[in-house]
Amino acid sequence: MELSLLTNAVVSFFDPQILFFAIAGMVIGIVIGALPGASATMGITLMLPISFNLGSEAAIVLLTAVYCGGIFGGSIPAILLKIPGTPASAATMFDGYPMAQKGEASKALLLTVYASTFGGLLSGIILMIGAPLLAMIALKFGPPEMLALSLFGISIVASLASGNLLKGLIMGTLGLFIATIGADPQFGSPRYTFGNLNLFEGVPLIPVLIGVFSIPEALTMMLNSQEPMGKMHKIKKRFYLKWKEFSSLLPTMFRSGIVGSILGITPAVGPEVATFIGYNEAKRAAKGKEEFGNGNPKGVVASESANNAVTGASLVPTLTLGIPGSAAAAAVMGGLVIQGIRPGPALFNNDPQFVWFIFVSFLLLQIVMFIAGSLIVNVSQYVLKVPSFFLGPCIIVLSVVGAFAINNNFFSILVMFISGLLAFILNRYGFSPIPFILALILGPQIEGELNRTILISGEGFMNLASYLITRPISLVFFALAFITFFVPIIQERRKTKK
Amino acid sequence: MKGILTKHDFWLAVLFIIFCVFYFGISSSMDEQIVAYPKIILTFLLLLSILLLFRSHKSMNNQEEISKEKAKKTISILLIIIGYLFIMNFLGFIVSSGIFIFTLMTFVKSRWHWGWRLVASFATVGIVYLLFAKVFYVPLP
Repeated sequence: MELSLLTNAVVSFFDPQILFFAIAGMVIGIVIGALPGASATMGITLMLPISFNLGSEAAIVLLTAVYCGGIFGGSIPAILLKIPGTPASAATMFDGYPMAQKGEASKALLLTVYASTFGGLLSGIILMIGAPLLAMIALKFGPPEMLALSLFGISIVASLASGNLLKGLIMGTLGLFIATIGADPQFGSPRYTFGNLNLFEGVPLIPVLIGVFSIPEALTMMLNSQEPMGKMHKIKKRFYLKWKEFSSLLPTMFRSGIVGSILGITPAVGPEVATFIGYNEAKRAAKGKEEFGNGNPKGVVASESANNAVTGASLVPTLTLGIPGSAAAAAVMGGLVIQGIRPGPALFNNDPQFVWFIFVSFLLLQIVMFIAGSLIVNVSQYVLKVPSFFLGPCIIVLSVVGAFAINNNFFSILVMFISGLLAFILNRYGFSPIPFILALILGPQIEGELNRTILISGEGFMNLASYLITRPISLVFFALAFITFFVPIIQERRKTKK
Repeated sequence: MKGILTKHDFWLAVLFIIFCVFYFGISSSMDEQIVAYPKIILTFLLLLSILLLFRSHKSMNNQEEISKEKAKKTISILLIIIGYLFIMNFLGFIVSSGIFIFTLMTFVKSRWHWGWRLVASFATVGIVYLLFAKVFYVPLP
């Protein structure tokens, strides 16, 4: 590591424009995360049109700030209303709400600030150490290894992202097919475009991202707008905790932070999984297990440290392999792609200054989150009063703006609405959109690597097979993809028979 | 109802199969070199859809209850969205978005007074216009 890369990155972060977007992004992220029904991923997709017009450094700071803020913000309604703002804060509710009932709402909220910052810093360090190491290995990968790795990424996502493996695989395969629409990468001939010039470069990714992550949430908000809100607990104004109030919780924060970071590196295992595993791990290790669920501060810090530790760690596979570590990381990746930056191992060689800027800015964003979070939790009851019958229509209007801004055409708005509507219907029946999005992102890469592999090996299955035998790393990933793909299907079949 | 196959899964599987057959049909009239890869993907999708069809057929009696009222409400919201997209071409982004937010709030029985709804709708669009078009130079529809 060159010290100049580090110092330049720090100096760049304190540029007034970038600092402004760091603070603004964090505040927007916390507010969006705090609104029940609005997720961090939705917040990122709504910020894409603004990021499109910014420089690459300001854009990545804005998107990652919304990401971190959104995950943290979800804990506020979980504590005050017993409704998690995002699925990532579901476990925070178990002990956060009982703490609020005991009159300790302010302490619980400040504990989430401390734990989120701790988890975020830990994952930032893991990002800084893990990403360059993984990129160094990935740089040695050729087309067959990248092909096998991408297939492995999709198979693991399909099996984990949804409760139903078969449905996850269908969504992943559908995404791979939709990614083939547009000009063929080898010959440039149009495929399945039906003469529509807007489809020549493929189905536009950003409108699909906005549609899939915003429209279902807006529709759900409007459909449930008549449901009464629970009683909100009052907050006493407090801006910091005393050392003795949180020092005994540091080991729990550390343990859950490590759990969250490991899960974050795994493709598509998002914060919503990490929060439960982090919580359970803290409960397993604790002496007074019966106190969990009755307002134990350890429960609050465990889930918050774990879910925020996913944020930085999920950027490790995103930046080094181009395989997003979570749905929100896929949205951040979309933001990088529209900036003309293609995540992957080559990025570390081609633009090390930018990569180091991401590492450093991520760590500094945690400090911004600590300050902004400590202030915002004191006024959070006002944020929670924004009614969903007003928010839903506003999200739709913002989605229209976002979809139009990328290509300046009405076609993108149609793509956004159609994909949003399909995601709403399919998700209703257990078809998770996450494998679809990942496959849509990875599809062109998979086809390209397959073409390059065939070009090297020669056409024909036997040629391809005999070439792959000489590439052990790709064989390992192919085997892993095969196992992830078929073993759960066989296991499910056996269970059904029994 | 994630993880449980229902009657709806059967019909969704049928739709996926029709989708695959349709695209196989289109692919047959195209140059084999450019559709070889998509056809492999389609074959996988077809196999998985057939698997879903067989599995869901066994659980045809598992029926999810969907409230008719919610279904009606969803369709009405979608019609309002289609209307919004339609009028945007004639009235422009600002006016049509203001009308859209006001109409949707009224439809979902907002507890706000109509005057306050009207002010909130157009004020929101005004803020979006100023922020996106004037501050960040984002083109609006």
